[in-house]
Amino acid sequence: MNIEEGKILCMQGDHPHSFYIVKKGTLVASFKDEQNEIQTKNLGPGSTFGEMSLVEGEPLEYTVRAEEDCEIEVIPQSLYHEAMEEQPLWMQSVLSFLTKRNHIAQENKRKKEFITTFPSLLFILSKSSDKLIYLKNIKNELKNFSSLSSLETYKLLLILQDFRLIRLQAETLTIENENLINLLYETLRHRAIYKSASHNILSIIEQAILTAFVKAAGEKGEHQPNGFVAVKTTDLAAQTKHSMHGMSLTMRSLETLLQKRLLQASPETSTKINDVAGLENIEKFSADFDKILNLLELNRIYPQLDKKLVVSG
Amino acid sequence: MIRGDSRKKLIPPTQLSVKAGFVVYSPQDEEKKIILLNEGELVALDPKVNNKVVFKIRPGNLVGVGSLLEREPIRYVFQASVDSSITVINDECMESELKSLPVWLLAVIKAISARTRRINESIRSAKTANPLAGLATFCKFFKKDEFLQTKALLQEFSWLTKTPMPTASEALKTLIRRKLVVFQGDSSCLTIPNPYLLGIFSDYQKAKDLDKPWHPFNLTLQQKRILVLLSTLENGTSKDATAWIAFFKERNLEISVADWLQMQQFEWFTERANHLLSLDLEKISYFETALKYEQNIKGTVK
Repeated sequence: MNIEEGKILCMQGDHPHSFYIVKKGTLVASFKDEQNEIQTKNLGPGSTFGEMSLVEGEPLEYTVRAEEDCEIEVIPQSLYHEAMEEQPLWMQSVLSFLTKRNHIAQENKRKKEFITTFPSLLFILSKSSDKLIYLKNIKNELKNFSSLSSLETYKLLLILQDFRLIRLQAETLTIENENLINLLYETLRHRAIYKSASHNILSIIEQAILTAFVKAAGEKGEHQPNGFVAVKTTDLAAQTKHSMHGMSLTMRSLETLLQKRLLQASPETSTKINDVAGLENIEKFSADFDKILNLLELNRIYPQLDKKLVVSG
Repeated sequence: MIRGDSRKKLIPPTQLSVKAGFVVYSPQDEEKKIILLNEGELVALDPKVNNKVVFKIRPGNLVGVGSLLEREPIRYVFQASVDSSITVINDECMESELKSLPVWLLAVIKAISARTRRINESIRSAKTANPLAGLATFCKFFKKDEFLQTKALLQEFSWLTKTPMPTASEALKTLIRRKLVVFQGDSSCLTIPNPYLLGIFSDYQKAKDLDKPWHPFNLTLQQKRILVLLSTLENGTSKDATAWIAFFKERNLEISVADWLQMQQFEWFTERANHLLSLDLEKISYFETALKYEQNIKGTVK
């Protein structure tokens, strides 16, 4: 078929069920990408398009306009079916395999983009000086790191909202816990760069002791001038026993928490297990209460994160 | 319509009956082929994990398409788990079949393959088309004059954007040459003297990539004078278009309607109710900063 300069051959989203081969002249294909930005490319002699429309009936990805008078060969789906009937069965299987593989690749790309954009989103949020941020601004900044669509970006934000890190409004979001966003980002960064778990990821025993500390502090904690909260050793031991189904608090179980300085003993003691006096010599333990709460929350969120990203993506 | 060649020259595929345990295709095989399972069952064994069964292939399914058409390496050993019947399509057979296809059908197959290849390449490639603009954007998020570890910063950027480390290092060198980033002591540490400027630089790079004129460096002398005048006003100063033009005229800065229309594109003013145009000092500051550091942005700084 011939198409005059300036005429539109087909529109993005159309279902022509046809394949096009440019024989003569140049056409311009324009399309809106994932972020609604218009991209263009030239289609000169020998260029083809519409293969997925022909084989799978998918909508066209481009609006195609003739830049000059052009000659196009159009292959309709009826001709395709006719030609395929003449092919051996295995050739039809090959073609079906190729289209299936294309769909798998597209899906892999979308999922991978979704998962790998999550740290970038955390990075942007962690660096924000404002607690109230326009969604439009987040999406604009994210464009520098990812080609994720607005809808997919919103899905990532919903994950953060589920974790109570942010609260979404119509056009804005409010950062609910910036320290936890930082902690989560740093934990992911550590895992990716150093290929090991960050020290923020606590063992079950560490989590149990800190949970007991939080409970004891809530009931009988003393606020200290440095902003820390102190708990008497006897109260911590009793709470640990209660929470850990009868398990006793020992210096061995406390060792890593003291080494990480998440808990501080008073009077101060060595963190090397062989040097330490018994637990009876420690009057109380103190800690940065907010930091402990955030760490415990991080350890609640972190194991769910990968699954949540895969399921939502 | 070009219909392709006659089917007389076709090399037919090989039909085989194989016993259970027979390996039909393995990564060691030199000959590339497609195996179509007609009857029976094949299992895919992973040689890297003690030949663990990874998946099973049922009749009607194929293996080796990527290997034959795209020359991709095959990962698994395919073995018959029961007595099976297979069709083997090797290079010669496929070539003769492809030659017999109508040219357009061959073009369809090639287009689908190329499309998948492009998608797979894009999965592996960096997320930022312009690593220099990407690194500048990344750096703008850090605090002014904060001491940053060079290696850690590059690793973090590389992780977020999948930019290879050597490319990221080259981009950093460019930012250093433009004095947008400054090494401290030896090159193990760096600081960012003006994070805001890095954002502007990134915008400049993006406009260059798109071959679009970048407004701050395309102002006429009169527009520059107006920029200076506007920078002395209060943020949010509002007038309608006629009043603004008259305001400039009173200060010997007469502008044409064309000039005025062009200035609308600079976004120095935001539209308010009653056709009022409100001055956006943030945008004015953006243009001023760009002009002040033009040499750094363009890379002509000494």
